[in-house]
Amino acid sequence: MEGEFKVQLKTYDSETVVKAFTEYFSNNLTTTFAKSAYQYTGIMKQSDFCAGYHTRDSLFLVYNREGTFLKVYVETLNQQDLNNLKNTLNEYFKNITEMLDRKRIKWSKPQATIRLENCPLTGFVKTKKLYLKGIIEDQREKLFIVPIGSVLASFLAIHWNILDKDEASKDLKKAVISTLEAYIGLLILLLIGLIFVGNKREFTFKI
Amino acid sequence: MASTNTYDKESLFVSQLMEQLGKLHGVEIRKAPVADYGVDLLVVEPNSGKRIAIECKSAGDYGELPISTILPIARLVKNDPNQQVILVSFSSVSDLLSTKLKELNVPSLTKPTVKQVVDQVQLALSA
Repeated sequence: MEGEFKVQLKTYDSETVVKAFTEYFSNNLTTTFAKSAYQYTGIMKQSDFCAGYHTRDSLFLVYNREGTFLKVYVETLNQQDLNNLKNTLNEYFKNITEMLDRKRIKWSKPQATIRLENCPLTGFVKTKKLYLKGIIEDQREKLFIVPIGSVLASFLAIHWNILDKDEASKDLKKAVISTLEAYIGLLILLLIGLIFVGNKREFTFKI
Repeated sequence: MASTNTYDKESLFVSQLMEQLGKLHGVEIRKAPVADYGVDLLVVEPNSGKRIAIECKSAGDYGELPISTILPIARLVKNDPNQQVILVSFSSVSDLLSTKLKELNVPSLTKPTVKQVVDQVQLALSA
């Protein structure tokens, strides 16, 4: 079980990136590589990486530039603890993107993955746009389908003489009130989203 | 939901692949989970003793296989050097991973058709 995350750099200058890692993380590539699982397979070489950092329990290695994506491999000492790997990956992601910000290196399209046998976990950062999209998708039923359904049902009930007009109008009023409630709820959620979402710098993982 | 659909497609692909491989003469097909082998599909030719391990991998929405995919494949190759490993990827494969797979002599097929995989297996069996 290992993790990887990537961010696209607007301008990827390898020298600047390595310099930034050296400045912020001391860049102890040799010792980090020696601690990693890659060391034992022999197929990956230290020269495949440009930077590395390790603590007692975890490490990250930065792959050499390939295209415009900065790719970071993350490994934890405890290979069985998925939550530990998720937290470590998020911590490194936060630290590295803060480093990029401080160095004024523009980045975008953050994505992460955790390699589990037969079951890849993909991580994405919940941005304002994704948050708003998610809310509207969640509320779709209350906002659009239920009101339309209520109006149609009332119309058909009158048409087939199941309800008289007064009863149908009462039902319609209820439907209008429920819809208004849903829209007010949506408005509140949107406001919360605009104020609070987007400040978090972490991946949310889904299978 | 997208991931679930992708997973269903991959399961369907593996089922169809098993069906087509089963039509090959004189081979046995074994499907994971087979703890001893650690691969998705194992094609065995009992007469010659040849074994082809097919690893099916997907990175889901990440889009490309993580480079660390090389770790289990390298272990698989090292554990049994006489076994030919074929990687079937449902996601794209980066240049670095592709280079490392070549070094390990592991053919990789990216988003292949069932027929392409069967052809690759036949090629490996005839080698």
